Amino acid sequence: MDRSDHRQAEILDACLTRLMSGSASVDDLLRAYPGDAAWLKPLLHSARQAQQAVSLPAMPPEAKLAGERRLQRQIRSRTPVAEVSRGKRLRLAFALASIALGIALLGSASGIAYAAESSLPGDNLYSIKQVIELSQTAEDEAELLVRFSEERLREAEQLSANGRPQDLPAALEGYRQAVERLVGLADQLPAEEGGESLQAIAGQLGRQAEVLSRIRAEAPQAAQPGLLQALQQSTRNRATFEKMLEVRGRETGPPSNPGRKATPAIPETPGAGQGQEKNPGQDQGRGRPPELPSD
Amino acid sequence: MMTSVHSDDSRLVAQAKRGDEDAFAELYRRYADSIYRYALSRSVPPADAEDVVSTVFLKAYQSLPGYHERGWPFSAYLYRIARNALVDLYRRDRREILGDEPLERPEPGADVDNQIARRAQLAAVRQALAGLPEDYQEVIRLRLLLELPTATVAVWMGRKEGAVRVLLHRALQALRSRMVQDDGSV
Repeated sequence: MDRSDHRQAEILDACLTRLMSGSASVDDLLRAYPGDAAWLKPLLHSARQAQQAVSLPAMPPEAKLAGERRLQRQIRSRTPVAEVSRGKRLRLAFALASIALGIALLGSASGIAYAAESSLPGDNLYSIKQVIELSQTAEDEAELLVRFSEERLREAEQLSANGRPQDLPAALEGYRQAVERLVGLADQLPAEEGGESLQAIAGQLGRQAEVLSRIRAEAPQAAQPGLLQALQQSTRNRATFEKMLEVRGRETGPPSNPGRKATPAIPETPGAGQGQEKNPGQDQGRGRPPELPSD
Repeated sequence: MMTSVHSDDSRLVAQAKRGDEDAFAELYRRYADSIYRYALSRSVPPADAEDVVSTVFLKAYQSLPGYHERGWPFSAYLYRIARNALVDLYRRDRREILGDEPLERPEPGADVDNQIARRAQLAAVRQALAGLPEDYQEVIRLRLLLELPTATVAVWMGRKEGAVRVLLHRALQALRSRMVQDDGSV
């Protein structure tokens, strides 16, 4: 962008300000900038047409008032944020107490933790492993959730390799929960903090989809529906992250990224459809009712 | 319309953080309309746009303890939540952004042919808008449709004012060329 473009951008902005305030018409502005009329005229007309094409009425007063009352009711009925924090502390305390109890009942700390760490869904020590994970709240939450999702996938892979498809649903459900929480967390990130994290998570989800595809290719028929569902969810979430990146990332990054590839489609049968692509938005929200987030 | 930054937003936010519901209600009254119109600009139907407003303010209230101004006004904070809520809505409902608007009733006594031609022209403009890159669409929504001052758009979009002007310039050039491409008569 050279100096002349900057000059044009400033003139255009000044003209639009006057146009929108009603202090000048398009003809007035073209007379005020005779040397720029040739390029200015079509842009001002386009701006006018855009304004006329999309009408944005004010919120109806009764709806605004009803919304205000509804909001007040919701605020009063919900747990204040400060108490939620206290709830988190209680949960952590409970988790730590459970670990202590587990240690006291079952033996040495390092031995139990080590044994629990390598346990799989369906094993006796698996609940201890989950409690240990719960207590790690001091770490960065997003990083932790990515790690949880990785761990659930590793478990799924191992269960599949060990011939325990009956325990796969528990690992896949754990994977689903971790990724859902990750999406919820990303949704709360302000743009200036979110870009790189979202990019990293989207990449991670892509790699996880590859792992899921690999597991699915070797899994028995009974495990296929659960794996297909997990794969579809992973793809949807990846598309969601890409959409978030697209919407947020451009504010701090370059204007567009036309070279980025869309999230690949999932074949209905394992191993089929290699190289297919589709629009990330096309598969979003499948199987969900059209609704707004409740909180 | 959010044409000015209220200097006492910070005071109201501080009061709301201490549990003053009236202060938060005042913030709602100030900015509900902007969020509603922003949702409409993203082709959300009016009834859903009202829900978006509720969602945005409820989320804002819930995350108020974590909000620190630091040169980031409350209106920009609401805008950020609104964008996220709309991404969520888009994800769940697979809506088209800047899609067709519902048809309006013909004005009594007006030339029906002219009205049909006019509608087709406006639909073509909306289609051209929808085909632009997201940041071009966004600067047009904020600066032209919501008629926000450049300074406010800059804060909301996290860019410098000069960068917003340049972005708008590019966006209108792109819109123009799309409209000419779609219909040589425009």
